[in-house]
Amino acid sequence: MQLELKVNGRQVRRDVEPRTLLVDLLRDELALTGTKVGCDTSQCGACTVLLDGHAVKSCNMLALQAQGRDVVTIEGLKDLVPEEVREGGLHPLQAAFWNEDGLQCGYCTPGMILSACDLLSGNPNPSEDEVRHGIEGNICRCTGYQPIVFAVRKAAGVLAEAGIDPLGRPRQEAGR
Amino acid sequence: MIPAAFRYERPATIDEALALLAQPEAKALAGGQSLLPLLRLRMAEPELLVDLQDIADLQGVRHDANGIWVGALVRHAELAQSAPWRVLREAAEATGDRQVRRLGTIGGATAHADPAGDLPAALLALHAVVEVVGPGRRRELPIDGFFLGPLTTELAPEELLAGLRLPQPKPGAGSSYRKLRQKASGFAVAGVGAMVRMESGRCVEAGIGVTGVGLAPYAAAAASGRLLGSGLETTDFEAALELLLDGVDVQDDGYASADYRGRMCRLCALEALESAKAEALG
Ligand SMILES: Cc1cc2nc3c(=O)[nH]c(=O)nc-3n(C[C@H](O)[C@H](O)[C@H](O)COP(=O)(O)OP(=O)(O)OC[C@H]3O[C@@H](n4cnc5c(N)ncnc54)[C@H](O)[C@@H]3O)c2cc1C
Ligand code: FES
Ligand code: FES
Repeated sequence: MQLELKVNGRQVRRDVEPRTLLVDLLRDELALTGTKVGCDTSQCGACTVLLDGHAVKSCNMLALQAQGRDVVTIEGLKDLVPEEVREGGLHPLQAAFWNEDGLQCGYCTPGMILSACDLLSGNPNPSEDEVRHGIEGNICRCTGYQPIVFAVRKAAGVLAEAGIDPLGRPRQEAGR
Repeated sequence: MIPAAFRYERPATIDEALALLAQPEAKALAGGQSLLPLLRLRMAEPELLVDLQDIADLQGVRHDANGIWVGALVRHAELAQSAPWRVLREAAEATGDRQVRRLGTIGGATAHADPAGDLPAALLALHAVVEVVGPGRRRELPIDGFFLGPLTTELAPEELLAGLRLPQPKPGAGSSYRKLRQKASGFAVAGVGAMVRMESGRCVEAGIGVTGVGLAPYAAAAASGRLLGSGLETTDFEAALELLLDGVDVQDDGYASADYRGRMCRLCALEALESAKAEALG
């Protein structure tokens, strides 16, 4: 079936079998391999992407469900924020994970960052507990989570200073 | 893992959806958060998936003289933010994780009837009414009795759950949800939704919904009935909790023995009732 959607700001058109999962479209058809697959049970969150700005598990939805919608993967995240807010070319969340050692093997990281993105767009200054609850859909086997929690809170500070949410929207209009 | 092949349709109206669901081996798709895992395991192999997401008549929340109508496609994340009853907000927030709540819908959670589903317990506590549409008919079913067993409800394959009717919260009403999660899956070992309403120090309305405990979520009618007319003192709660598991085949599995599950259920119920009472007393 014909599928049209936006991925990382670009209009994409493909002919797909209805049973194609969104993650397979992203990885196999569009070569966006930053999105990972870590389980067969929809539980690990490694495949998390943004759908219309909200975190979803791309292994647990059909590509066709995203027809006409807007998908952002880890590859496109930095483009959501203005250049002057990036650090070393990275989105503040990516930079914070880098600076705070929020990753070891890095397999969970893309999904973790996109879930954190969703969390921070609704809650600009989450407490440690709120961060832990906010990323409960993402499993990390390496870090013990502590540096991830630090990184998310650090990024929250950077974004607050820049006056934007993680999707690059000015704070006043953000947080929906 | 890859689902078996199927056809996919995205109707814009309820009538179109019903016509498609009349075809053999057709299945509705809402948020997909229960159906996709089943498709990937090939435990479900429909020939046709009918994606409901474009149907405007299944969306949104409306307030009218009859109370509140919540469309089948309202997502867990939205309920957690803004549902009119606290028990519904808390049950939605306790469901799955952030990503699941972004896609999962109240209609899907009700139609799917997971024996440990969270929203069903909240809906049972509120004595919700299930609005069902089928070919040429529309029926309204009380939620008590809607869940027949694991993944089994009163819905026929050619019917759609259109929405849920809830009462408008009145002064003196309070509600709450408590759940003990399995560590790995996050599903309820036991979960209890409670609703009470007080007038001049007496309980005039009550509802208790239990999940994770029996073969289907159920309304603990004897227990909530015991609370009516009482002052909701600790002794009243204790007496009600004695009736909580009456006639229920409490499940015994690798996560919890029947004895432990029963105890945790009573504890969740006590906490939910205390919290509902606190809200009722404002
Ligand atoms: C990782 C994970 C964790 C989860 N944890 C929990 C949890 O802790 N607690 C909990 O309660 N749930 C949990 N869930 C399930 C989640 O709540 C689902 O969203 C919900 O059970 C189904 O809603 P859905 O909209 O996704 O329905 P779908 O998956 O789209 O559909 C489920 C079933 O309902 C039918 N259906 C859907 N909508 C309608 C309708 N309007 N009319 C008729 N039939 C319909 C479908 O045909 C299908 O059979 C979890 C899911 C995942 C993936
Ligand atoms: S790959 Fe594990 S949740 Fe999607
Ligand atoms: S860094 Fe290895 S899984 Fe999280």
